[in-house]
Amino acid sequence: MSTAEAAVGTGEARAQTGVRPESTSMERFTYDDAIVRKFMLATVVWGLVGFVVGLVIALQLVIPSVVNYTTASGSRPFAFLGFLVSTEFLTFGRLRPLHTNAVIFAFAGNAIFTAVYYSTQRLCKARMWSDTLSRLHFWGWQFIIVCAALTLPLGFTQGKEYAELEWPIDVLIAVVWLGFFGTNFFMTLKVRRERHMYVALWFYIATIVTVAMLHVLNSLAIPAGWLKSYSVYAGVQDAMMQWWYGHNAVAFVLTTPFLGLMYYFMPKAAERPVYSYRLSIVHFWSLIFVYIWAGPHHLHYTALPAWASTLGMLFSVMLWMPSWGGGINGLLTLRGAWHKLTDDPVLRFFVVGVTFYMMSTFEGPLLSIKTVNMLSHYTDWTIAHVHGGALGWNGFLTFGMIYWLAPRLFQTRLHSKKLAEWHFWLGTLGILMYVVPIYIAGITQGLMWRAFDKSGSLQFPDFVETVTKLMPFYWARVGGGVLFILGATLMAYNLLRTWMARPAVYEEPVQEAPALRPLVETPPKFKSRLEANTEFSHKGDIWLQKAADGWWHRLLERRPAKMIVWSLIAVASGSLLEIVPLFAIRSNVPSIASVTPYTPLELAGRDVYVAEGCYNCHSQMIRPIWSETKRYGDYSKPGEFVYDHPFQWGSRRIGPDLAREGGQRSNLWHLLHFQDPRQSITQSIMPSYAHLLESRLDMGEVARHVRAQAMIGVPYGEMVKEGKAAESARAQAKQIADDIATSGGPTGLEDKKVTALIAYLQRLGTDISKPPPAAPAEAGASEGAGTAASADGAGH
Amino acid sequence: MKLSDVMSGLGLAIYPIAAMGLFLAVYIGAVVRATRRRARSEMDAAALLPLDGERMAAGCVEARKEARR
Repeated sequence: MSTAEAAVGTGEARAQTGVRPESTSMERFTYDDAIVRKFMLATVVWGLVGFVVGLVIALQLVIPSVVNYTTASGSRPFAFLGFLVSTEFLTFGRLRPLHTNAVIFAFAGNAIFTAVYYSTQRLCKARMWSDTLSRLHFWGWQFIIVCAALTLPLGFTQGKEYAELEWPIDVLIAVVWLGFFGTNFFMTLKVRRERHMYVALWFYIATIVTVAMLHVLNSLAIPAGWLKSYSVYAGVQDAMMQWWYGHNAVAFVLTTPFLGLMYYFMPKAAERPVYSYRLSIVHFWSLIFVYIWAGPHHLHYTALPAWASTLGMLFSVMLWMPSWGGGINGLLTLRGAWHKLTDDPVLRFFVVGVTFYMMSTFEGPLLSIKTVNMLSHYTDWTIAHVHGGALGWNGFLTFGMIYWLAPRLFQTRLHSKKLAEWHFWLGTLGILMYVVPIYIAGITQGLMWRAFDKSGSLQFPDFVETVTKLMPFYWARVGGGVLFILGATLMAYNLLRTWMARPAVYEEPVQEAPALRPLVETPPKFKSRLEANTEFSHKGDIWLQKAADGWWHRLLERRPAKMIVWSLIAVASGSLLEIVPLFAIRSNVPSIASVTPYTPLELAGRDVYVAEGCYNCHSQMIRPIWSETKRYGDYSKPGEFVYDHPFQWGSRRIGPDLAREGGQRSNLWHLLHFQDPRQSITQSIMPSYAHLLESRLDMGEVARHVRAQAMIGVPYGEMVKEGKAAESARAQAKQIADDIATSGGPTGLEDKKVTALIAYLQRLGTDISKPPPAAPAEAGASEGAGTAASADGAGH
Repeated sequence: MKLSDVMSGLGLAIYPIAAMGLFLAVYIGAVVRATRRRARSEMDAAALLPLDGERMAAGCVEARKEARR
């Protein structure tokens, strides 16, 4: 930096703005780059794990179509792949949450921490407040990831998308996030040596505050064991909380911290300040305030009240402006430096990453518009959309940052620029090869689901027809995934070779900066311009003049505590004012008298449904759309879900909706279908659940789960008494097992998990066609639940 | 009478509109802060913070000032 430029950046600028020069006594300190190296390594390792699990689940959707392929000579060359669709711990429903959690919280999470720990120290001119907290944060977060990697394939899940981890891990997340990371970060702000908090730090503040709020409120649950819990929310309200959380996980894990990363690392890589710092201020406030409202657009045409989903849509459309404002600000940072793109892979990754951000944030509001969403919802269109954002925006920004950091952190030259360029092109082609076919698949699905023939009947009444049509696109996705992973592997190799060339001992340059003196800013003197004779009016006018002068906001930029509080107000006000009316106003969830709690056996079956992650492929929500009611039956009502802790509406239909599955097929059909789906539907891509025919149901556990449900308000009445729940479950299981045996199926299923799951499926969507119970509400509910469902179970 | 009955009678559904008003106020405040003439030098200094102590393209700051004249 030239002398003149340095002056602009420090003393001269402060003199111009009237801020007191800081203390002249210089303090010496070093930055903790060891922690940045650790987080960067974790980013690469978990990134590869997350991508590979993604490839595995992509393969699981195509393997069933080839595993039974037989050549003319009678051999089955792909039979060896059968384990991917028949192994209990590797089913799609169990691995898909592992993939999403690994990519969002392990890959992107560690990338965020890499960026935060590197940039915060430099922007604050201070070492992280506590090296111990930094290390606790690092190892705590990696421990959480390992816990997730172990529990999710074992079927321990809360059954809420991107919030699957069970309650002890949730508690650990809160401790590590706020107790270690948050405390360390905020204390570093407090001891900083640079008065102005650069805009990247604002985005980090909003991230930490909001993620804590989202995580704690959405994860509230009653434990029913060490690795089992039930959400305190039910049905419509749980759906609202979940997608408030789910969409804002996108906002405050995959967007705001990456914008902070962009605002710090793009100027570094381009060797230019951000295009417009003014725009970044407007970008920050409008983005965090508007984003928080957008969640309900995930629930259009569901049982959520229309006002809530319309509100979500309107705010989503408004998001176009701040998102594109930020994207343009990032891209124009390269003004006058575009020629560097030809030579610098870091800038190439950044530019393509920001371009994907702008594409995704154009498409997101588009998908939130109700008429578009009617076609896109539950289809692969959403999957293409999120992968454009995750691979393009989060992935490429992270890769760019890593290539920029590696030589600086390892204090040597990057091993191979050529390999970085290969990574860029493989990654770009991989993303395109993934998203383009999946867009086509999504739109094809949506159109096939709603197609009618000339007679007014569904043109594709057999759901599996709409699945087999997509196989070529699913194969193309596998190819795209392979290219993307190949690129990431090249990066890992490149980093390994760079690390091997590191010096024997890393240098730790000593920095110098003056300490900040306590902030004593006197407000500019304003006089009231009014002639009014009330003190209130004069004060109001002076307040307005201060606001117009930027006095209040300038205070926020220099006082971390105020910035934290106002960021929290911005996100909490939107949240509360959207959520509270839904919870508080009775008319939002009209009750239905004939809807009663699940019987103990059905509840146990529901637990199996949740543990197997069935919601990853099957929805339980029929929208009031002609093609849906024609295919699945009467549309879903809010009152049908009041005992659903957690809700299981799902967000995608790889298989058909199950909201009205009860009574559609016999118990034996379900049993054979679980044993080997292709035995019932030749072209099915569902995994085999033969293990459920062997796994025993723990009746003691059933009773514990009923009591936990009763604690969160489900009126189980007599069922909570000792032995009642188990007795009811045994009786209902015997009826179903007898029915299967008499129909020609296997015997001895009375104590097997599959029987509970069948009981649950046979109950789904049947309540509204029953007469309301005549007995007083609570007693009637428990008795009614037992008898009605028993009748269901026996009747098929 | 239950709490939900009381809440139902309070007309809370209007509150999202109140929040919208709050947002507009904050938004206008941020725009005002960002666009005040006095803020220019502060903003220029703040924008340079990531580059403090780093090499920067020669003449970059001067070029920006020139472009604004």
